[in-house]
Amino acid sequence: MSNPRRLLLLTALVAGEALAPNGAAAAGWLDGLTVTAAGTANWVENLSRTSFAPTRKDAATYELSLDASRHEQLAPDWLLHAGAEATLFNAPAYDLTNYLKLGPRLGLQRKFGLGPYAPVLQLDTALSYKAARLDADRGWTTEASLRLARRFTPTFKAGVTSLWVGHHARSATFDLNQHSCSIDATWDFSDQWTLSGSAGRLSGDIVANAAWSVWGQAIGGGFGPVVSGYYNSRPWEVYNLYGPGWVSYNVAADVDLWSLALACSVSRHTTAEFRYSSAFVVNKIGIRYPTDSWGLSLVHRF
Amino acid sequence: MRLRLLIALLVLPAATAVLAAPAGLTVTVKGAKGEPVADAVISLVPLDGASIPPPAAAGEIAQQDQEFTSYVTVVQAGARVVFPNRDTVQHHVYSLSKAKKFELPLYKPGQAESFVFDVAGLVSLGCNIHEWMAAYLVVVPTPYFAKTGAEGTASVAAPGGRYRLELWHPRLAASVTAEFTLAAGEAARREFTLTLKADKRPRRGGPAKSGGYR
Repeated sequence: MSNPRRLLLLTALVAGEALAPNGAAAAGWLDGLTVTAAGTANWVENLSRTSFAPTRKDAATYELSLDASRHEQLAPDWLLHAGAEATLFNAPAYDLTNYLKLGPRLGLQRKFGLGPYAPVLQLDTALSYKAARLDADRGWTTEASLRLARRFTPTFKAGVTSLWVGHHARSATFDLNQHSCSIDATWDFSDQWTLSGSAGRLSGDIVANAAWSVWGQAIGGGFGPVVSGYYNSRPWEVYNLYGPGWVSYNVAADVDLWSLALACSVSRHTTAEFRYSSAFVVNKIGIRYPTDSWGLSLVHRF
Repeated sequence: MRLRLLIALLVLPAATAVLAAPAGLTVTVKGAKGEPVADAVISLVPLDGASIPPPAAAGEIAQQDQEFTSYVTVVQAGARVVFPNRDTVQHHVYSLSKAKKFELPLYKPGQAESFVFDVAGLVSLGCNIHEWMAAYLVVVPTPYFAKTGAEGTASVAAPGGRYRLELWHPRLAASVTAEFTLAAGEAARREFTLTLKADKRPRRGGPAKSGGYR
């Protein structure tokens, strides 16, 4: 077992011991736990995040996640919530991209007033370990987000979120340092159906991929000195993620993100959702990597 | 003379018994399309100065499965209402209504605070953590009240006399009132057809990953 895994196990044991000093308290603590499971099947166009269109790889991906969380009101307007999440990602056609991610989450919410229309400010932090199949991508991810949300009518609510993500991988190619801002809105247009959408902008590092035939030209100056100079200044290596000789490389980029989702409450505890997401990545020298995905997910709260 | 006295002695208890005999009013409430309307509150407020007995029963509005157990509760002014948290999570029950303002923050599972509601009026209840939780407590100045069930009917037992009938529903723009006389021993019937507004409660959302204010 690797050190991070030992550390996670140890953290879970210590936290469990600290939060549940005796059997009765543990039972009470567990009663207040909300456990949610989600399964998602996606079809992703340009999963490989490749700039040269003829070599882009599309694929089906699958995600399973299990989340346990609990909230505790600290003061009349302050709420603390803590939880842990495990996510299993699988892309059968490109199994080197598979990973398991798990870790704890802690957040604090401040509600400005009483009632459903009072605005809520929320600070969230998360730490997770990414046990990627590709050794170079393994490492710790830290996240922090600040969100202000408000309900405007009984059926409409909206929010703005600012998110920071850092991933510290074994290889610098997979290191990420990102910041994004987004707005989102949710409309319950019937007793069962909800339409939601979000739009945002992300700035920071992203990992892209290229077939060696293209990459060789890029770093050799075949696409000009600007491309060659920039790509040679960034970390890259042959990792064969999307085929023999495929290169993974890290670039600084701006990403336009948006998504649209239609959700149906199957029961009080289960929701089915169809989501379209788009990420239009443009790196610092103007190279584009558009990615689109269509996903169907089922979320169940136990 | 003796015969008259004898007749009077025989008739008086019978007349008294008739006057004191409880009467009843059955109200049927329908929507604009003729559908039965549940949760409509009917109260009969005496107009002829009859003395009103104090509240006989306490009320209860529990929190369970992140909902209030009853959407509409009716009590007589002066009654005590208990708010037991039978859930596994905390709640923050509140009311901003003029008839009774209160808050139960940091309200843990197992707690059961209570309040006396001595002013007649409408008390709108919510939970400041779970935004879809909403309930109404209707405090009426009379012991003669009832709430319609799923079939849209409610029955109130009251002594004969003059009353102001008040009909209230969460989706009604304003209460409906009508004055009428209930004859002793009478089993009266009334029917109301209401035009109801849209339900303004936020919908309980599907599963979410994090707990907290929603």
